[in-house]
Amino acid sequence: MQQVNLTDFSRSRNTTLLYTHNKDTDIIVDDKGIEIMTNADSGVKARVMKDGFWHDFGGSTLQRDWLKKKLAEFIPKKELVQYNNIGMKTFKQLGRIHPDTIKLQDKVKDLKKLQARIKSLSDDFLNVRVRLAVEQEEKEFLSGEKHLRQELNLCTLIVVAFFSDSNDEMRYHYLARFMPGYEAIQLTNKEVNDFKNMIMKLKNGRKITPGKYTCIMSNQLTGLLAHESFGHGMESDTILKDRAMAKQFLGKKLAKDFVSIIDSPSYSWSHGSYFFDDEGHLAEPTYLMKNGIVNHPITEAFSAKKLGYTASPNSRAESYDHKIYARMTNTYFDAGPHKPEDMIKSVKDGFYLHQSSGGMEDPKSWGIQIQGITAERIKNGRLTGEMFFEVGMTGFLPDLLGNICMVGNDLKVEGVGRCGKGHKEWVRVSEGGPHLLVDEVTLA
Amino acid sequence: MTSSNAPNFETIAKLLKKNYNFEWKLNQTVIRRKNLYSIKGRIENILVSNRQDVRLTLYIKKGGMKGEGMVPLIDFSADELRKAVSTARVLAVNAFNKDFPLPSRKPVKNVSYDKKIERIVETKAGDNILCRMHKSIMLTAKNARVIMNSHELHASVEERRVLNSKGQNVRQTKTMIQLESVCSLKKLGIEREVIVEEEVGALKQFNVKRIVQEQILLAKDVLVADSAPFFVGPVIVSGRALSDMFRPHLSIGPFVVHASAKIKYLNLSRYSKGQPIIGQAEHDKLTITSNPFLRDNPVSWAFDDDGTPSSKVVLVQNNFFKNYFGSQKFSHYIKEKPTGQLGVVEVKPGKCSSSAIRKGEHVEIVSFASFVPNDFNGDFSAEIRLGYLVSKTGKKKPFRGGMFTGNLFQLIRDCRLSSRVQEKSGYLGPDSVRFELGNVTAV
Repeated sequence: MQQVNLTDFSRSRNTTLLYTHNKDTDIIVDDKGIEIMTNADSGVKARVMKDGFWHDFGGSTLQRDWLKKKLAEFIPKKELVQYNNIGMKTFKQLGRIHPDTIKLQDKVKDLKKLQARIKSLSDDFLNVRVRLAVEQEEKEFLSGEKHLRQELNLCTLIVVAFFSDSNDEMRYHYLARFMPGYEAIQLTNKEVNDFKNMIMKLKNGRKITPGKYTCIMSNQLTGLLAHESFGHGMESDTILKDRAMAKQFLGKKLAKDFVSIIDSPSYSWSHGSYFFDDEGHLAEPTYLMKNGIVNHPITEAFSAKKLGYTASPNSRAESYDHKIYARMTNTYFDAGPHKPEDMIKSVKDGFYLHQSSGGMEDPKSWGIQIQGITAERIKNGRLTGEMFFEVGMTGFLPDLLGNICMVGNDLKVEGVGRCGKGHKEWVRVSEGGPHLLVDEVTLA
Repeated sequence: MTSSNAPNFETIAKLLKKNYNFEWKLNQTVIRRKNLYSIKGRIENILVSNRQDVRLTLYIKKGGMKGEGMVPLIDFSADELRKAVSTARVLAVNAFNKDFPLPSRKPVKNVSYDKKIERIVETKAGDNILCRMHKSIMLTAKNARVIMNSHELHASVEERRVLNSKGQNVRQTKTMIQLESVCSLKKLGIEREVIVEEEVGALKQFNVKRIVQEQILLAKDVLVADSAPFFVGPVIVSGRALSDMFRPHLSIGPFVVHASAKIKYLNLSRYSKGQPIIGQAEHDKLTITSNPFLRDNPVSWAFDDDGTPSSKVVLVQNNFFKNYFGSQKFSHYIKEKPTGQLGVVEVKPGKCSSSAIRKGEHVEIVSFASFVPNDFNGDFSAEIRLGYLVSKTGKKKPFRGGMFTGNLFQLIRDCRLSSRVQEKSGYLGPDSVRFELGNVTAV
């Protein structure tokens, strides 16, 4: 039950209010036991535009009286406005199987079963950890014009197996998937077999010889490129700070016609989805690149207004006590015309890039900085099983975008990560795309 | 604690003792912030916040096992407490693990905090102090003809309290002030930027003018930097880049993670007590200590989430693994003494002077885009934001881009540690380390 009524707070014409309530349950099962962690966090973010800039006030529900007092002090009496009766629009995405309909003991049982199933794949595992994170997020937004409310369920399953490679070095391999409901926990036999096969291959992995290679990027790597390398440079607040090279490429062609990159909180229920953002903009897709042309940044209101851009639904704060920035949601390359198997067949000598541990943005120089990649050699159009790990990908993004030769028809947006602005301000996101075939990729 | 809806812990404790026959723990965290955000010299946003979290954890014993259930409290009436207990109970009976003792009543050391930062956060006058810092940043940049693209000043006060059924009752206040700034320089159509993040626990250590001046020096080198060279040989990592190697932003780093009692219990530690952490080593050897009491360092804490008093502990001594660090629970599981949470990672300096470290042809890296090693095996590949190629005669050529790749456990086998030390948030140790067998890959 919501403990805060937004209409209890003082408000001027330039005030917006956002109530957030997050309830999380994490269940982790591994070889040694079980951990159940629950958390709940709720509070209100009040924003008042005054003297040409935003004044943000954030208070947890336990500090609601402090927040009421702060707003009452800050907004002069003559500027106070009454709340008109604006009809509230409500949105819900609770998943196919609402996590609340499954008893905790059954969730634990299911996870133990899954852990045992993964553990049985090999006697060599040092440990297998299976984690189910169930997040329930409620938001209510109120301004002079809008009153919106959304309820979301977010279930993430992560399976990690630790093992020793042939040099007795510890490695791990993971599988992550997101669904709005409890259905996230159901892994198919194919998914489990693929997981096992990859670990078998990784046992004999080694270091790559640095150089430029023809590469096929998996859906995950494609997504990381869309998000880290391209997307961060298309954030309007970064552009306003003159920190993004993208500014000079807006409206210019950087890639072939079949290359498009989209950010969309309305993409069909992925980890970065929502119905409205923290400034009350309703979710819709933004084409960051359309048919090879750098198209439109993602925005929050302040920088969008300063730069004269149409606002996009990307205003997000980590929490009620953090600032709103322009942030990505589900960022992905759009599907193209090519079949992934044909793309692999077309490579004489190169690499298939499977997974990565993450990347870093470099919007000013549009540099690519992706690390911890697992790569598999492709020889004469076939995957060879010869593996390389901890590979780094580097280079100049416009060059790489220009070198995309084929785009697969297998669009998937399956990322389950959190994105930071630098090393802070974490928000849930997803990324993905189809397979990409790219020439001259620098790997080290 | 100055919070408007502050719970009366003593009353809650009495209710718990009176009505329930199990172990429990109460945690309270209050974080108050005041932040100033600026874009190109103009204030974009001022944020003031006040967050309070209270959590109740119940422990239920059954046949040598202990179940743990934690729930947040948002109301402190007897009725709400009853509901919270019932929810925590459901969690606890589903999460039985091996039994472990809760920390009993023990005093904790006092860790300092800065009343001046508290004043910035708490008072209207604090706005003026932040505005003065903002002006000083802009003036320093203007005098050096550098564009200050954006900067953020964050001041915060954090209060923590832990109370449990064994009588442990501890509290602590910490303060922190941070500058994150981005400046850039332009020349002949080229524009390049430098980002710095500096955070400290006391205002006296926080000289924004000095931070920005150092940033400007880096910006001048970044502006004229070439592309990275291919280089195999001595690589010196210094300044912020080095503290990132020993204490990365997103993890605790390979040298330290294997000393964790939890990692040992999970069968994932590569260290064994009394054994070397690496094979045969040349030159300097590594000694790493976890120090939770370093004055004014933002990561110094007197106790952990369970209320276990923090201890200073030597983790690695001369390349030999000495001690684990960890909570009461995991330390008990592996039959070690609990030390509380990890403190500042202190690396014992070596004997090399600055010039001896930088002898002969070498590469020196002063800034990474982000250093994210594989904590389990030490592998890494990190993009270089600023480095120098230094010739035998000492001529320095700045470069940017390219990757420093390798394995930390391999690299450390042949290294020299500087005698000069630096302190960063979470790190105290040499300001530079020379790795003889480094590898830089060009784009």
